[in-house]
Amino acid sequence: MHRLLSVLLVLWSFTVEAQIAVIVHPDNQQTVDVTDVKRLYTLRQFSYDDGSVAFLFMLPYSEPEREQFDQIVSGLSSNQLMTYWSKIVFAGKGTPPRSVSSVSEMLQVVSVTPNAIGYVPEWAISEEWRNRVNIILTVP
Amino acid sequence: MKWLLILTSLWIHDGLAATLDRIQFSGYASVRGTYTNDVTLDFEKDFDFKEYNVVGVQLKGQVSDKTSVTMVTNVKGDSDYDITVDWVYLTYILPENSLINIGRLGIPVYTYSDVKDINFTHDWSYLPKSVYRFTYSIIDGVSLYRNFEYGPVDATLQVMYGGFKGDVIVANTPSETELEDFVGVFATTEVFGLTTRVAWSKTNVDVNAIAFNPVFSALRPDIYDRFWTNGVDAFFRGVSLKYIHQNITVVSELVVVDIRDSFFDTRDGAYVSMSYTIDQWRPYIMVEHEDFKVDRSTLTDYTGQIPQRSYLLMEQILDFEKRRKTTLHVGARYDYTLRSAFKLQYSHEYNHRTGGTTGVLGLGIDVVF
Repeated sequence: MHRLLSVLLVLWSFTVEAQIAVIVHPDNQQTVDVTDVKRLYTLRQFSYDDGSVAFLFMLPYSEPEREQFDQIVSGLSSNQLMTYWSKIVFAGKGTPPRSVSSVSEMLQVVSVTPNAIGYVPEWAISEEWRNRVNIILTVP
Repeated sequence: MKWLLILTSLWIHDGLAATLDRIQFSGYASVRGTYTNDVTLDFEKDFDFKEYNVVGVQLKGQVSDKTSVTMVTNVKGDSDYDITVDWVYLTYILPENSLINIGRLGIPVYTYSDVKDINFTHDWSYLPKSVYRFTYSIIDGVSLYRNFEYGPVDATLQVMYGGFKGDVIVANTPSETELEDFVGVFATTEVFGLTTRVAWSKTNVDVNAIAFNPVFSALRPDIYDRFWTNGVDAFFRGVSLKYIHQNITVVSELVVVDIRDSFFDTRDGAYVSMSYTIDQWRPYIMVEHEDFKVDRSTLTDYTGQIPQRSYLLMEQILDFEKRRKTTLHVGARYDYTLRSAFKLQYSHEYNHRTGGTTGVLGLGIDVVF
């Protein structure tokens, strides 16, 4: 029975998606809600409320949170979102998110780039990083 | 080329070294082979491994947070792999999610005009030719683009003004062409998965068809003016719908091109396509139809006043331009990586005028990088 429960627990841990934290530079005190994040990552919104241009960053495809986040912000798969971005970018109507190579690089880049916005799994933000990035919201 | 110099100067003024780390390269490529059992307007008979190949590079320099300079160059198989600089423009981000582009710009008359060379951005092997046949695709001018949000509705509005002077291929010969006072308005709304787009544009067109000059020069000026596109107004109207629901995507587009005071009459084109996403696969079916009419009144009104040689040429032009055909496409797209897609498509074309049919098989790979 214990073995069965352990197996089920392991399986459950693989299927539950991590909470995603949307992060910005610690000096960035803008109010950003889910709708703003969706509009920023679908290239319909270019700036924060104060008019400063947002620099978007995204995780690499190898990170499971990438597909999860793409689905949340656009309702599309990562493949479909890449096609959507290509159409806007090559038309000169927006700039796509820049890809970082890992979760740790995302934390590093956002912590030193004033207008940056990015996302990481919430569990990846240690106490140390909580002082160096500003978590503006979490999404399931 | 003037635009390129101006924009490069701006860039250098800001400090080339300082902006090197702000340069973004992105690009696209398509490699495609086709086989057809008969010659058509769009395909050579037998195998072709050149006509639809393209490699493009977009170079974007971020001059400041709100200002960037973009250049797009293409190398295409259908122009014998000559390098062309297609777009060069400066972008400034304005308040209220708006931006302004100034320079050499693409004309977005169709839904996929902006990305007509980037086959990765759609499911098909190539864009439906019944609709995507308008020759003029760039202007030197200005574009204002704005995003709106009204509750659940997302909307965009783009307004363009400009002109174009350069060579366009007419009868396999570069011909001096001028578009004056191009005005375009393009709007989209998106709500609950349904995207609606309307497009309208007007311009004055003047084409000096060098290939035909020896014959046209024998025409009386008034007959020439009435027949040829010599300073005439051209109107474009288009509407398109795209609906995405779960795994199903439906796209359709209807366009009407009206070139006044010339042998061209209205040119209608339309397509509807439906695809179904299964993991990385996207099989689709598409039907397209084109109906290009011609105005023969010049020949009938001036019977006996047109030299025989000119008359025959005008007959040939009218015969070439008048067409009515329907094409059925079935195919599939397979995204084998996030930035690359393999495509297979079979097209069956029916020519209503001749009753002839043609089959075209296309196989290719499209990537963005």
